[in-house]
Amino acid sequence: MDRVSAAVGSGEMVAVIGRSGAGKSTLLNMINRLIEPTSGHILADGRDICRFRGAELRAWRRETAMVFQKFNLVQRLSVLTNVMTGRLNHPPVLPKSFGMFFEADRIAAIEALALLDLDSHALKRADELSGGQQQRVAIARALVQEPKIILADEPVASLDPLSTQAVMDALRRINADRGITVICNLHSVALTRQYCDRVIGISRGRLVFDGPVDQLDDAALLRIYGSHTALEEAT
Amino acid sequence: MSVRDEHWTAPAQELSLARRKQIFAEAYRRERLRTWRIWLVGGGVFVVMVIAAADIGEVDLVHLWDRLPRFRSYFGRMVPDISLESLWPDLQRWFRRGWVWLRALWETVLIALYATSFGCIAAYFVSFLAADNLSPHPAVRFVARRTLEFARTIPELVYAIIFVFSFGIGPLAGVLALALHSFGAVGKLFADVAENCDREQIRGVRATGANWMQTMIYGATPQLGPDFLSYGLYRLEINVRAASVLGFVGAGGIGQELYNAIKTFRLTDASAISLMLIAAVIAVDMLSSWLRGRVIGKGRLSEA
Amino acid sequence: MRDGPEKPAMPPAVSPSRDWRRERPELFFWTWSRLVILGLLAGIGGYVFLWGLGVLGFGIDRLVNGSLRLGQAIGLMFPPTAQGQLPLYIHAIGETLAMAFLGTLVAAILSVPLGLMGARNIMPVGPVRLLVRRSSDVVRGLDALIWAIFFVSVVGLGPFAGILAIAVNDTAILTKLTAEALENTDREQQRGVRATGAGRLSVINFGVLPQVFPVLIGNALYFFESNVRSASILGIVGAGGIGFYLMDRMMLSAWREVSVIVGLILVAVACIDFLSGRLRRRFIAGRGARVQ
Repeated sequence: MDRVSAAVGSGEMVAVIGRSGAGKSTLLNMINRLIEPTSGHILADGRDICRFRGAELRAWRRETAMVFQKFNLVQRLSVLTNVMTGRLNHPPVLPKSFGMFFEADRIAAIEALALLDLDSHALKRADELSGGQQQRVAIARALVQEPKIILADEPVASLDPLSTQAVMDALRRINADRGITVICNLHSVALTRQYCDRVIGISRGRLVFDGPVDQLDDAALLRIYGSHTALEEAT
Repeated sequence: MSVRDEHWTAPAQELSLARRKQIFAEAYRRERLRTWRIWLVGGGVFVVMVIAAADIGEVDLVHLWDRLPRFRSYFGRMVPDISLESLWPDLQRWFRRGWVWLRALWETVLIALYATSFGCIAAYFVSFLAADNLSPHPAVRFVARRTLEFARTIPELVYAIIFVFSFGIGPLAGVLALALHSFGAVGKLFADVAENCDREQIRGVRATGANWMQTMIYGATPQLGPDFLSYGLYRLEINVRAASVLGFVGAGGIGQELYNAIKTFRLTDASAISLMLIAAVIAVDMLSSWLRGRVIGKGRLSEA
Repeated sequence: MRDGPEKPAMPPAVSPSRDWRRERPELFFWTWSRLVILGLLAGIGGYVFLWGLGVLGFGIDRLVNGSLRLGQAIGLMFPPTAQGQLPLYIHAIGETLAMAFLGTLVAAILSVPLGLMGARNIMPVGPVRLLVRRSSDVVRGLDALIWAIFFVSVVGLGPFAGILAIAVNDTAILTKLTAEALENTDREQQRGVRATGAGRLSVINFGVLPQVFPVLIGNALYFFESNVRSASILGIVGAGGIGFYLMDRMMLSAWREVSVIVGLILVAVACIDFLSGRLRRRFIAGRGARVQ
């Protein structure tokens, strides 16, 4: 990434768009420090999260829940257990290392699943579910972390159109009802226009667009995607 | 076996068919010659090694041939006098110390069970430290790998002798010796398997803010569990055999009885003990195979 | 599409509006009765475990005293010295390596025909197969050390007895592994060869053996490694190799020499492990057989 500077307010639903390889994933993964930035600061509520270590860093990761393109669920564990892993960093921490989750954790997990219409699948193994269902389980896991931000890295890239809608609807609902900031990498301009308030455009590691979604005109899109063919693939 | 690249580049103009055939024939011949040469040299080295080994090893086939009748008489003395008329009393005489031996055999199996369990549990924890994708720090990984290597390179009986000296005669030394060696052997297998696991699932757990230990428990162990159990059960089979000879150095089990029987030429006793030992080993093998089949079966379900 | 001005952020639900325990009891694994059962099982398990430890002679005092003695012995092992016996030890290590090498070689050679006779898809005659597999089970059941004593009684002291012991034990093990490898071959390749009209022998020669060859070599090399470890012990019963000196020096509590001997064993095993690993990679990868 090259000198990216942006500010996101709490409660916004932001889309990060650009060609594949432009640096969208890198940007998102730096926010929860799964990738380390080489220079610069990332400020959240005034604190520089690049300085966090140990317990502070893990607390930050709890507050910035991540939803991955490949869902990243533990395939052999049940749906319910997968969601409960979102509570691993909720105090008290030690008993949870040995598989003992508390009643409150379990109920939070069930509630999250119910919110996403998945509670009937709670005891199935994660790999028995379809792609769209697994992604919603991942969102449930993100929810029980009680995060301030949800980072969604290409959440619908592997899904069929129906599941795509279900997942984006869920993210939108969470953003609207609970005021959780959502930052998602999207590969489709149509989805961006349909669901997000604000757009950040990345091209070759540089920030080339930052503004509300209705300002996303063709000139801006050309700047972001670099060429007409790339733009056509995204629309 | 492919024709290796000879840095031969095609010239710009077209070659005639005859010329091309010629080039190919030459390259083929060169390649065959090289293969022949490698096999010849390799074969020669091998033969030299065999002869040297036979010399150091005091291989004397003539001597073996001479001793063949001794073979037969030895075997003969191992077979007890059993006749059909007095079958039951003959069998009872053959196994007259059967209960003592059974207790010793039970001790042997216990040694193997405990040693394998201790070794596997220790190996479970250390294997995550020794896997390059999961270890918290490269230095930690280095130390972990070297420790495992050291533990499994030294033979079990060497540990057993040292431990008998330290802890006294009896199965305690045997369990510790087998456990230490198993820790090294199984730990390496576990670590190698752990290095092949799916990292995405682990990233998913880490991204929730879990600490290293929680990530290993929820992200890695569900993937690796069946493999770990399978290796552990296999190690149990090996350890029962190893435990059976611990008694030779005083580290418990049936070895002591067997050794005494052979050395004092009570050969029918030796054959009786051997039969009981073989039966026990086969029983453990069958149990272990069955369990492993169940465990892997469940594991495989996920690789649909 | 946004539908109006910003709504104030709503806090997440604090108290559950539904009693999940009553609605979906199957989601709550840890009921009180299950916890009690777990406690009971843990208690019984713990008791059995401790009882077993007692049978095996575990005790805090023994462990503590033993560890102290162990520490003492290890302390006495430095600095290592060979007391001028180094040539003797080196010769003994040579014997050990020779024993492992020849023993494995003989076993590898013998296990091929025996393995073929023990494989379901090669040997149609049931009783022959059964005989081969069961007798290899019996021979496998006894450790090489036991065979070593036996052979010492027959051919006398020295490494020859060790070679025979390793050869016999390993033949049985490798026969089982070979037979299993043969039975696990990919049927499709055999079918391909058979479709050309080849006879049974040719099917085996071209459809089965090429697949199985890398596995056999890999097994042989792996057991060579393992046998160097076993061979270093056989000397304890007089079957040649460095085991004799190890036992002898330990009986005399000559710890500094013991550490030299153990060091030599370590070096020998490490070298063979390294060589064997390299050879295995060459053979299994170089043949183009992508064995994962």
